[in-house]
Amino acid sequence: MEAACIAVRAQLEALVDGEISDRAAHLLRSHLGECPECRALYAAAAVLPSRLAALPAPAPPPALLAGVLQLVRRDSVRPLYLWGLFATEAVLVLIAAWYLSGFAGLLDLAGRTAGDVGGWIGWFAGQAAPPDPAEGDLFLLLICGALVVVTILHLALLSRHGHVHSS
Amino acid sequence: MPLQRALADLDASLRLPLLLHYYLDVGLADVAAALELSLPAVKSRLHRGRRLLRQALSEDV
Repeated sequence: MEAACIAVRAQLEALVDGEISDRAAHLLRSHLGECPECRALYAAAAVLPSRLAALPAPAPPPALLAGVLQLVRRDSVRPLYLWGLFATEAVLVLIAAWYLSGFAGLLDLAGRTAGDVGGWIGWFAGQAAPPDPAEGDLFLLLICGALVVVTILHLALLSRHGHVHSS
Repeated sequence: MPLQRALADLDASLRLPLLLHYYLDVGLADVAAALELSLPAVKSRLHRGRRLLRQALSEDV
């Protein structure tokens, strides 16, 4: 091996990075033009940074994999649980609808509510006497209360699992 | 010798700057700060590491 080859091979990385003086770089490059072996080494030095960047990701440690799988398995129970709450809500709504005698009952309730609201607005506007308090309906009130409680629980569970906020 | 083997054989003081800078694309100044080294020391380790890697890779070609 020539002395020039030794000098070049010691500075290949600096030459690739352009971190030596123009004069020294010129000398090294003129040697590369003459010496195929040094040229091959220079090519290897030049591609090394991109080879390092393209390394495959290291395999995850087995403990991590086991932990993630456990989390996924635990999560897989979740949808059933949440769908169960949907069923509870649907049953409560159905009971309320049945109690109100279906669509006609709902329309009747809406009409009465609108009448009450109108009466209260009239009273606020000072145009009418306060309306009679609405007739109490304890069973409907209980059903609605239960529906509100289940819905709040459902929303709390959904947001904790990130369904509402993230995904 | 595959690149991973050559890297694994490298001393950690050279392997770490190489992986931080080239694999994880961390800037030189940040590598220096993370490893508590001066900037010239980081550059010198990167050059030395790359030279040793290159030699290890070309040995059995």
